[in-house]
Amino acid sequence: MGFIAKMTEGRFAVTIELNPPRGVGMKRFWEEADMVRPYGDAFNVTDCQRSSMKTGPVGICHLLEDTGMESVVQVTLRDRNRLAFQSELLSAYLLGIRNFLIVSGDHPLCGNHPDAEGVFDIDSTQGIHVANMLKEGTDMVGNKLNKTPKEMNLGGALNPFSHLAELELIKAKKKVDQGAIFFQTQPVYDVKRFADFVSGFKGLKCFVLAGVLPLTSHKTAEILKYKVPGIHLPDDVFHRVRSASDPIHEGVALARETIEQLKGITSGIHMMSVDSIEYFPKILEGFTDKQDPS
Amino acid sequence: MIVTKKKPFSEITKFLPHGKKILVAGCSICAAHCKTGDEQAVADMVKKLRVNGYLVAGSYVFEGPCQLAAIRDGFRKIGDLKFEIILSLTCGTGTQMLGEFANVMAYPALDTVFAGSVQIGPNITEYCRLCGNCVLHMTAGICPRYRCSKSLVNGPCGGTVDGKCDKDSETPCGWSQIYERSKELGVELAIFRTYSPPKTFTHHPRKYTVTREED
Repeated sequence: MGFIAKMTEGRFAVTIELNPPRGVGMKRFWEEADMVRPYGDAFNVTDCQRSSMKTGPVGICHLLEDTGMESVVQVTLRDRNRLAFQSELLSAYLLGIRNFLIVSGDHPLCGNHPDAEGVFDIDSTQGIHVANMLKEGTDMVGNKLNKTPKEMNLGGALNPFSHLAELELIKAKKKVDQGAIFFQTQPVYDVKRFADFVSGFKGLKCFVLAGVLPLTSHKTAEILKYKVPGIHLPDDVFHRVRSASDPIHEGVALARETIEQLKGITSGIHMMSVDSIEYFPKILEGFTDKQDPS
Repeated sequence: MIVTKKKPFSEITKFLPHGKKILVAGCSICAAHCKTGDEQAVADMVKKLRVNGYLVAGSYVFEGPCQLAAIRDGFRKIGDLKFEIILSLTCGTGTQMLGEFANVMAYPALDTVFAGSVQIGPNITEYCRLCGNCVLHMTAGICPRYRCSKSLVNGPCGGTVDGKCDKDSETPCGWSQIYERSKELGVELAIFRTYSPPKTFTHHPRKYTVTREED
């Protein structure tokens, strides 16, 4: 059963983000994928995350699908214009990929190719609109497709902690109007504030998967607190990890507490890792009701 | 105005040929405001060229070399000065028009960076990306194409932090500015709630020519 179908039944879904290698060596990738395979309902593959060049997610999602892992391909509009974007979605669909997370993407200056031109020909809301046109049988200028990729599930990213929360919510509604059916959010470390934010989604036909990024080292806590835009890490949570003598133990405990609190608030969780994927089995134990954890 | 900045002299010497008689041309309008093509900048360039062994035939600051009438007038005043190439301290339009009119190779001494405004102090700030699809009426008079570093038109991205852009902690987030400005002005902006389709490039100035109304 796909993760969308699972959430439709009211069951808690777990998606897990996997980061592609830089190059064509897949050994480490498969070690990580195999480690978390039993715990996720679907697996996101990032698209040059933080504007740093990596192997592309479409090929890797295809490889995951081949091994029976449902994938979510992330597609940024930073790196492709409207022609390349539509073409990429259709290619991915042909390769068996059905779930698409469409994002504008970080600015090139955030990454390791700061001299690159950011394309941003269309934005993420427009990208969802365009993808939905493909899903309904035409390209974005109305040319009929010879066969319709009807089974596309379209999603968007969401930052519940934006200082422009009102606009973020309005924009999410626009994305739902354009065809988004799921959202994956930035990491949640403040469940109360998150709950206030998602209460605005009542009545919207979409699923929200709350981001969970375990803080299993002092360094990760510091990076997220001070270096990564759009992440809200409250002081008390930061100090809890920063002052822990065993940050791995504390980080795992914190992540489990967060997930426990998120159950009942959201449709599922979206796990992300900064050097913490090896702890995911411990964190997710008991939270996944995946029927076939083989 | 069209904003320019000086190319490093070391870059100019890589492409400017020795042994040719050079006309050093400036602009008394935009480039003068930027202090990149005024009398002083032109005089400095002449001096540097001579020190570095270039043959300078003469110099002239045109009154807006983006306009044909000003170029004609300028060359009339220059008279029969013999030059073989131009080093242009003007925007890209000026450089191309000077070369076209004089029928010689015109080399750029400046980089043309944006359409902007001189601020209090030394800063010149970008205001317009010359995109050809003005939406200022929808965005409280603040341009999302330029002020948002990703040119988003359907609202802010998720990377904005406390009013700053995700690309660095100093650049203001354009959508924060639009949001704040709409509150200051007390205007309800439909763009927040309604879907904005992709911009179109088919009636874009990149088609090179627009037709102006005759008097």
